[in-house]
Amino acid sequence: MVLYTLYDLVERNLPELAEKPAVVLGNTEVTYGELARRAEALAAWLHDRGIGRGDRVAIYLHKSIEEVIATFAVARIGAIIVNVSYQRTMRQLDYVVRDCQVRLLFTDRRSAIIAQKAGALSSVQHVVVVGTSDGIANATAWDDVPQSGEAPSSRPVDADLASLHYTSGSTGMPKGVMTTHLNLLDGTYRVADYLRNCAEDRILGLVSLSAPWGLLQITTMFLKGGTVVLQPVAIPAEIVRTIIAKNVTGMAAFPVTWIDVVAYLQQEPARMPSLRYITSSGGKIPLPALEAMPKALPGVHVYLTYGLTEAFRSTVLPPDRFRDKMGSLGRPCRNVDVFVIDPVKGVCGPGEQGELIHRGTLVTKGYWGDPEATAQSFRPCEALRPLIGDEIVHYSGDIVRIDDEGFLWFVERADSVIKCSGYRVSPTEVEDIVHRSRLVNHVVAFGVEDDALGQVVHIAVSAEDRDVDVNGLMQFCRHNMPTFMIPQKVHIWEGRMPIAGTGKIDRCAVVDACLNKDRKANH
Amino acid sequence: MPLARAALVEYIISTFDLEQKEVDDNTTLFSDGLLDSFCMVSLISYIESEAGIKFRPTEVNLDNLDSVARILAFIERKSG
Repeated sequence: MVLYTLYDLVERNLPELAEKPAVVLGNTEVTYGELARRAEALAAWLHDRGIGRGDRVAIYLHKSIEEVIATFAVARIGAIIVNVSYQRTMRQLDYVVRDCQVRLLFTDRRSAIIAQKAGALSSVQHVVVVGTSDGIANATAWDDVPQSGEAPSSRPVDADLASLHYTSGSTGMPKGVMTTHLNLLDGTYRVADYLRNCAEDRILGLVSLSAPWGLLQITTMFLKGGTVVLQPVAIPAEIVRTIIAKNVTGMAAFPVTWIDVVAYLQQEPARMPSLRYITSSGGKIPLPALEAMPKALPGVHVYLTYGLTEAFRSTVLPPDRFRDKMGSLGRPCRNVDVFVIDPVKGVCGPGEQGELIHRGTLVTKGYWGDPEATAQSFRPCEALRPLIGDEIVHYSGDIVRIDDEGFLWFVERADSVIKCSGYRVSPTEVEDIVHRSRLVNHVVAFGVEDDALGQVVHIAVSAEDRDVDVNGLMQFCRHNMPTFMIPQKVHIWEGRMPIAGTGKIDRCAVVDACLNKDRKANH
Repeated sequence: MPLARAALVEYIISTFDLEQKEVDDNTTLFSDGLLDSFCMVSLISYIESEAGIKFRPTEVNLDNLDSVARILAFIERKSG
């Protein structure tokens, strides 16, 4: 069977693997046959409710079997999956729902009630609630959706949008990256290829499906007829327990989890004979943790990877180069072209550095509803014109160096996006929220290097004529921000913040002053 | 030094922005996603400093931490 769309990945396993577990959570196993039945029935129900090709359907659920079924049901009818990370706040969910005009939402009872009280989901036509739906308007309980039924036979094509993945830029609110079935299938082939996935694989489903990488953990297993073992709680003791109990063969996680797991295994060594590989993305794992891996995870192959939501699964550092190229982003995967471009020099060669540019089927279609932001990052490249003409490429915003073997090394960000625990945080989004507290007059948000989390958010605040209520401010942040965005430190700025030539606050001067002060204090 | 139930519940509610009626002795804290693994770190620090105990890495698990009742039972076992 030729595979074009997400749902094809489920169907390719039938009827041969109908009885094989596709998804496992604790003691619950859902076979490929049952997954197909339930996704098809849910797709039929969605169709009856008027959801069709191209409609946006949001999923805001804790990691669960329902989340997987809903994802493939939406794919089956060609609607667009908008998975919002369960760590995001209700306000952010509301923002996403309005930004892309979500018609239907899957969520849990607690979230639905909070949303309803806050008037946050008034633009959504219907809510499917995992749990009881009493007292929730325009809602159907998950268990009340029929478990059998057939959706119309028409299918989306590979050029259709499969999903929107919201991610932050250096300014403004998060944007939805438009991802086609082709983008996802191509990414699936690429990952399954470099990880050498097979039908015997049972991989841990830990990463949120709001990130393309998380979704690919499921799609690679479905491509090969393997099994996904869901891991809702990212605590090292629980992860190790699951790997052992469920004979997990591979695990993907962000650096923050790897740091915790490696530290745990250094104190409490555990034999995990089934574990063949681990893989990481979303930032750098600090050298001390990398160096500890061979001893903490003996015999386990380590695949370090890099990619962006806009151009995912782009480079990989394979296990055989883990040691001698430790810290590198690796080299491009199969079917990926990358170029390192300097605005003056053009295409960079060995030893040179410039912005990493992606070209190929991995490049997604831009940002939903924001042609200006899209045009900034998705555009032709003058230096590449002789090679590929006007073809649209993606400017990553990452400055990298390329070595004589073609391995890439991260240098710095070209913009001010903060990368915390695998999530991108926009400084202006942080500042907007802090302003809403009305507890400060001015705020500058910035990222500070952190060994465990990549970067953490700091804010410098000034309230000019009054004292800053730091406790009140932190309380407000905790109430209004997802956990990864909450500032780790508040710098009180005495007096007025310096103004730059633009008439706006001189952010660089403020950030430099705060960092210098910290450096002196640490000595 | 025993950690009172009321103080623990108050800490959880105020630090993690929950409502009083949402958290009883048996409410699952982590496995259904009410709190995430970021919250675990603060919770552990709090329990260690207030109850005067130290978690071994293998003790940071759902059996010991997934509800107020389990946390209190764990503290009692450690202190006893």
